[in-house]
Amino acid sequence: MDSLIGVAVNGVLAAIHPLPLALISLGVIIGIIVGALPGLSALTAMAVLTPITFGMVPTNAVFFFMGIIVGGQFGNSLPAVLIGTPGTPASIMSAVEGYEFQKRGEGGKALGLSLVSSTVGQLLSGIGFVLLVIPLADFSVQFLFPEIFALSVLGLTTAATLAGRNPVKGIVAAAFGIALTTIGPDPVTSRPRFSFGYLQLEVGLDIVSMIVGILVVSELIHAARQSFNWPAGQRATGRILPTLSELKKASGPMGLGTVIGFFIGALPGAGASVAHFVAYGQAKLFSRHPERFGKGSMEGFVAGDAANNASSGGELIPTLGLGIPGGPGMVLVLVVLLIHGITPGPGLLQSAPGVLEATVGGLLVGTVAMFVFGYLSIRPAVYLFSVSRPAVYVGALVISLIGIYSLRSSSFDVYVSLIAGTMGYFMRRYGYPVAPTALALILGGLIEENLRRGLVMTFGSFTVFFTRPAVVVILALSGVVLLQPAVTFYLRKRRRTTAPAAPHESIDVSADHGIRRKQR
Amino acid sequence: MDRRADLFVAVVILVFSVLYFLAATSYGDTSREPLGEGSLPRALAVIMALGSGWVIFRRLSAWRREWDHWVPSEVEQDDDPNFPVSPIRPLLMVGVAVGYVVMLPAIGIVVSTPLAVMAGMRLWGVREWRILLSVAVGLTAAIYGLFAGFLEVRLPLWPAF
Repeated sequence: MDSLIGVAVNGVLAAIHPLPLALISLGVIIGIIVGALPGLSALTAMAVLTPITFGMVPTNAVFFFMGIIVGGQFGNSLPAVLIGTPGTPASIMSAVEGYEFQKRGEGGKALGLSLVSSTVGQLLSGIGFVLLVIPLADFSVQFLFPEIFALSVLGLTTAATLAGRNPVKGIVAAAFGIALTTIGPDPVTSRPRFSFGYLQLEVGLDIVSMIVGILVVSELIHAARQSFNWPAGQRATGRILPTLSELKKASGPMGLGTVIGFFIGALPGAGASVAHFVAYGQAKLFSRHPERFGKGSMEGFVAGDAANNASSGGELIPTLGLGIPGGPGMVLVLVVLLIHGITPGPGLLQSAPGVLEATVGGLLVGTVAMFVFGYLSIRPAVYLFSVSRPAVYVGALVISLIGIYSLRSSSFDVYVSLIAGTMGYFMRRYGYPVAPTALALILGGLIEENLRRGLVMTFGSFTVFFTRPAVVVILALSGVVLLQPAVTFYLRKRRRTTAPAAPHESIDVSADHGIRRKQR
Repeated sequence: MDRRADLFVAVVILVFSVLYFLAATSYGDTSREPLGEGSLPRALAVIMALGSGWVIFRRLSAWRREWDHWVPSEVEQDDDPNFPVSPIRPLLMVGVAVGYVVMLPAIGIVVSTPLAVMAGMRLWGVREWRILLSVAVGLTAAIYGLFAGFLEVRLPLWPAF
């Protein structure tokens, strides 16, 4: 423990030297800018900039990448809040809640809340990493195929029941998302499925294209239903940082999100997306005003955001402690380390303490840099995204399509994205939420692979799902999440039948917004 | 939300589930593992069929009770209820996007991007030519700078002929 605290202190001291600080700051700025562009993410920037790091010493490369990761986490919040397009599934509910703030002219306030919850989540997770990397690394080794399967199911059931107004449609949407991942090579046998003789389907559909399509393109197409410009008042940000009383209200869900994000991020295969939905779901469960969720709830917004950011620190645990990437961004961190001849794992503290120091220092100092540059970016971002609604949405669509094309120089990927976007548009129009579908696209392969490999491990016996304690607890929680909407509906119906008669109501049928009830 | 459209979509999903199930039956359990290649797809098909079947059942069982085809909305709300809605414009935007992707390899981003941006913004109701041109040129320059310049992504810049 003392040596790890020493690692943290040395890391911070190393990070505040001129060159590392410049690299961290540059990484944060790149992360914010690229993360703010719809259809792109910090992962894109890292992938493209990996060759640049070959000429750097390993610790500087780590400083640079930690800056991009940290900056990208906040950068994703900008389009999520300002135009309702989440950059990744790990910011879907932030987009749902945050965009409602923007519609009320409080986009700057939402981004200020996001900045604070991102900062708190990252800082606490960095400290958590230092304190808990060894015990959590030991624990995460015990997380085998059945546990990873159970955790994926928990994430999906949470997304299916929370996103959207009809949980049954949410489950159908989740199942549909997993079905899309079955197109292509089988995860165990590698034989092609559902290709119908087409070569491009035999290699499978690109997951990133489908996710960008279903989340981003569908939202941009949906926004085209109405042609108007934002009021000039929306460009004013007012106060950005939350007041003390707002911070007090936000502290509970922020803390909850941070803890959930950190521990779930530490589990291999789970990642920020699962943490985001689980934290959001738990915040709704504990909230005194669950009816506000989905309509601009501050609690839901900060819980999901804090979890998303705190998972970065958690993901470092399996990445550096075991050599198993905790998330997509960590894959590239591992690549850079391996190219420099450094093998992450239990012996990293002895073999390359400088790398561990750079990681912790980069995360902590990068978080401070993210706060500074993030704060400076809010007013220009709110102004830029509010100047012209047509320009923003059309520009975002074009940038998304170019971003998809640039991944593999493939027009087919862009067509896949457009088809997914069109499907996502119709899903939104008929009450099938896109969030569980997007999450299922990430987790679908993991679910099937871990389930089937787990059963091979146990010679076909399903008893592992009833005898391993962690699996039982996680699946039980999934059951609670799945049944909760039905129980709530039944209890509400009982309360209505026993309550006194309400004042006389008339019904006003709106052509497009369903039935509105008016009280006379 | 029009309950007839909701019913239609649920039927489409049910049909898709049946077809998906039938396609999954061709992946027999030839490998030496407990579940095999077709098990999860078949399970997913059953889940989708049950879910869509439930939606169909609820709609039909409430059909006589509801006095109009418009039922409480489950759909995602539009940005501002005070403005009119065009259900066609989103589909036209998809058309513009498809046209852009078709044009891109043939005539490059420097020509296709401004055309797509101007077409898209015209669909959104922007008529002023100066605004259209300035946004189109500015956005193209920004995309070129970001992707071709900074990220060094290989994009078709100019017409191939």
